[in-house]
Amino acid sequence: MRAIVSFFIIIISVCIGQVAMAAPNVDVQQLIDKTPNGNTLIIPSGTYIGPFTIKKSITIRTSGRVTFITPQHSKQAALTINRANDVTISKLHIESAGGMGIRVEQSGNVNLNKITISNETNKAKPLAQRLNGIDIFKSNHVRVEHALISGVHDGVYVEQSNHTQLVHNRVEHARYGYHFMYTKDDIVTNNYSKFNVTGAMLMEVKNMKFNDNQLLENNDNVTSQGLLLFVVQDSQLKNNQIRGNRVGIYVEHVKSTSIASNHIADNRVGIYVNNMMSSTIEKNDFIGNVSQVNSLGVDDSVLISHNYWEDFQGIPTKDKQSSQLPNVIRSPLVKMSNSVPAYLLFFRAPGMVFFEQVLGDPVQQPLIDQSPALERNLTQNEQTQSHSTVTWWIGVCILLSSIFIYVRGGRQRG
Amino acid sequence: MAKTWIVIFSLVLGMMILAGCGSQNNSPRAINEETDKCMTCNMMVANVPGSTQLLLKSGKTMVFDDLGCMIKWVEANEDVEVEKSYVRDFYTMDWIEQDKATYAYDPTFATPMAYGMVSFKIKSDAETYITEQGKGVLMTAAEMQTKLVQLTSGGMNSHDDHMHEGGI
Repeated sequence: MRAIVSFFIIIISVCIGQVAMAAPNVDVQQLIDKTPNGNTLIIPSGTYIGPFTIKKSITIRTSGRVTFITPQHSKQAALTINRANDVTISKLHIESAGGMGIRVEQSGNVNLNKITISNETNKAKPLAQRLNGIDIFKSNHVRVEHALISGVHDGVYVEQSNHTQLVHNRVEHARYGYHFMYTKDDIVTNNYSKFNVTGAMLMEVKNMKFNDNQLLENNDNVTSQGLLLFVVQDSQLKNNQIRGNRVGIYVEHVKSTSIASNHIADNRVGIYVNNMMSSTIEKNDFIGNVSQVNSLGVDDSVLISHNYWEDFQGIPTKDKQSSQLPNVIRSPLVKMSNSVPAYLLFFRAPGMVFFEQVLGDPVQQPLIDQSPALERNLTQNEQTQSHSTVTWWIGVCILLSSIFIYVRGGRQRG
Repeated sequence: MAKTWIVIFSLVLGMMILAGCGSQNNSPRAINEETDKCMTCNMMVANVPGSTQLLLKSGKTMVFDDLGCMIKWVEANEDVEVEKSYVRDFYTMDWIEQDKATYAYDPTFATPMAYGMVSFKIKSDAETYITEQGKGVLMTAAEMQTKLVQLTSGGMNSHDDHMHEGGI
């Protein structure tokens, strides 16, 4: 039905002269240049060698699979949107051997919908030699939706741009999945980031809404983390799944920011906190992290409450919602290992546990959740359930194997 | 008696050799892209012209992804004694002492943390770079220091001058 409607729209648009149809074996750049300002260009399926540049208001749609490629040693983006407003690009595949996928510079109101950027040859290159998938520079109101990006430097890199929206995108095998620098008023929601050095980097960011994202298994590098916040203020991080990373959330120089209702599980360190002010950490679930918290001290203005700490056992209040006892978390090794990393060898050593419990933390104040939750704040999502299901089936297999060996061994002896 | 002297001489020689092995090396080390992390901003440090490093008097080496990050760290850790600080030549990537380099600055020069400061071993190379780019200001080491201290000292609003320059 949708195809029929699209067909009629194209026919009608062509009849009234607002749509330019690109024919195979034509110069796409020439077609872009010839399309009148504000009109629509439809590119037929095929592979086109770039790079291409847009400097006007235009809507580009594709009919079938359209691939833009750039030569091996080109440092240019396959598609550059330069000083243009009101640009929409839909359903484009980019195979960029050398350069970036799409570069948006000094432009506004740009929509990138269903863009795929991949490069198999890039995956063998060191991260520093790759370029970004989508690079947004000094551009406002850019929306990237349903993009699939892999094997690049940064999946989506946003610098000195405001009001950016990233929705339902997926980045894998990159340096940083989503990287924001010097931006404000951005919305990042329902995105997925897996197998990257860092799931998402928010640096010098104001008023960001980072909600409902999945940052999973970003752990291959010693500098890996799910989410890094560096100089962030007035922002909200809510309902994110942060699982299987080296560090779940890395917080440094953060102010007036809410970290709430996140599922932080199976990371080596759940949350690392250094220099946080006037912020809240509440109603998060910390489950299965090797170390729940590494803290270099938290300001008194930070409210920490109602988080579920899997390894904490408290005394329930009358309503059984939380514990009467606070959860006091000390991490004396953090400061010591910052100056001498080899001290991490003493992590969970019996002597260190004794040192923590008896002598307290001589270096800095502990992180205290005054009313920790005794039950999980969040219902288990499908992924967690499937993870548990796999674990359950492995357990059953091991049990059956054990029974088989036991019974067979008994028979042989008999 | 002679044997005793030979033993004593051998011991002293051995100790001198061992002491020599432990002497502090003041030359900069290579960047390891797999493990190096900027001490200020926590980003990975790439083996690119923008990377910098400090050698502390304690013998420790610290690497940074951007000259701005190094200046910021030194300002925030005044009590730490620095032996040498190194930047890299933009064209050859050779390590140069920070005070002996010439700099080209423009807010739009692409550097890892967008401080826009590029370093050169030879002054004429810096001038050529500015001509090639069609923008930028030539700076001495002292002028670079003043500019980056100004850019990095604003805390959370340090880069406000970078914002609000987009299309719409």
